[in-house]
Amino acid sequence: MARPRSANRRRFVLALIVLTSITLITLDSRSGRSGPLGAAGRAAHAVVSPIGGAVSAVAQPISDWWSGVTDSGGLKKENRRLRREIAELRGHQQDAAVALEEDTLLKSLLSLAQGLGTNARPVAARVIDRDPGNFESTITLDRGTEAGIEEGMAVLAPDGVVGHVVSSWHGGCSVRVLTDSNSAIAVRTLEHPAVGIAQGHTGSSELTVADFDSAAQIKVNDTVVTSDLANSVYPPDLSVGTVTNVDEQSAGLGLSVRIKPHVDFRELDFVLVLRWVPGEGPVVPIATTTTTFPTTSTSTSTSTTTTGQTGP
Amino acid sequence: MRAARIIALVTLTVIVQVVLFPHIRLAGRVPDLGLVLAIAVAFDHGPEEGAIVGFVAGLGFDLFLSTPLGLTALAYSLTAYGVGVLQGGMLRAPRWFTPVIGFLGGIAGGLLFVGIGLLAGVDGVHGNRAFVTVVLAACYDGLLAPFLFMLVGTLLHDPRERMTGWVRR
Repeated sequence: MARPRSANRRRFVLALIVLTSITLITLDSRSGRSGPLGAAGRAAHAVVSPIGGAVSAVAQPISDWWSGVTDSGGLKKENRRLRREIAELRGHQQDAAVALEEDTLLKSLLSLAQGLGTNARPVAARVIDRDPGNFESTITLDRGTEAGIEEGMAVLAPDGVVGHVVSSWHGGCSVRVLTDSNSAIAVRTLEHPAVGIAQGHTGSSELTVADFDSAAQIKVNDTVVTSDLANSVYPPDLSVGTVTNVDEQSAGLGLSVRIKPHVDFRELDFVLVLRWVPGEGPVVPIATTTTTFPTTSTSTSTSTTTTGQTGP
Repeated sequence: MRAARIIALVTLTVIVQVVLFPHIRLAGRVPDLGLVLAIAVAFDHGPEEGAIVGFVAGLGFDLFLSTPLGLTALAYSLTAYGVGVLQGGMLRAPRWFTPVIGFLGGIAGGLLFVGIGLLAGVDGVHGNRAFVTVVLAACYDGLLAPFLFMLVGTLLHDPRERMTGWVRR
């Protein structure tokens, strides 16, 4: 007799459980968690939450360790993928930085070109090489005869004169910069009317003018621009540099002046080659004061008068 | 006294399930600790007790879920009852059987949960991913089953019953 009664009891319990469950499911589905059943859930959460917070703090390291154990294969794979992505992103970031820098340079170059007269006929070129030897200061550009670039043409950067073309070929040209020992450029000071020939020196980043008139009132920080002496390969009134030192030579030989060029020849990336021909007049507007192009840090200068050209 | 131990065990199981195992997932899934407990109780003490423990543990777990209250309770209790009934026909369970019964019970409980959930119109129990979840959770259940069987055997052990082997038979 015990067995059937036990079986009946089991069935009764099961039926009770099933009915209760179905009732609960129905009630909960209909009333949602806003009813009394929801209140029971909220109460349970309220009771367990503090335990959960405490356990969470303790379990987090265990969880991390467990994740490391169970996902180690995936983690390694993800790690490799992320490292690859980081490398790619760093590459893109560097590309973007270079592009931004080039953009700034090209904008300043464009601004410089727009500030020049039509007779300047500038051609933009990229510096692709420099100083092949120890005793010369030259740079190589990526444009040459195919762009109409010929020997003797002046080369400009946004900050001022770079030098002039000494040889040109199809696809490139070589430019002798102002600091080369064989370079000579006719200059004058903007603030005081004095004309001289500035020469470069091997191993020096400055130019020297040894033949300024001793009566000239040249001072340190005076601005020096290209002169309009006849046959000069440079158009007049282009920024050259700033006077850094003035010495009076003995026996009335005049003033010896050192000039720091405005252009940093080591940092050149883009330049303008002026297809200007001596005798075509100035390429910058006539002005009474030093002019700074909008996007350049230093200046390409203009002066009060520009007449004729002379050469070094 | 025994009822108190069962209540304590069920409460502890629900709390551990709710606060600890979300941090210790296997392939992103948590085990059905209450289900394995109910199976262990059913295996050890028969379908009636298993069903009651399954109902209470499932109901406790339901309080923390967004699915309808009673859904997990029904799935757990039916599974435990079935395990208890099937166990009645067995003479002796070898040691390796507990992970298997945990896994199979997990599959049955998971499928019941999905099936009843579909009938009740629960979202989120549709599709193949639900079945993948059931299988993975069942694997986890199988891994934990030996510990819970041992716990149930130790805590709910009645000295008057004859113990043969790792779990009661």
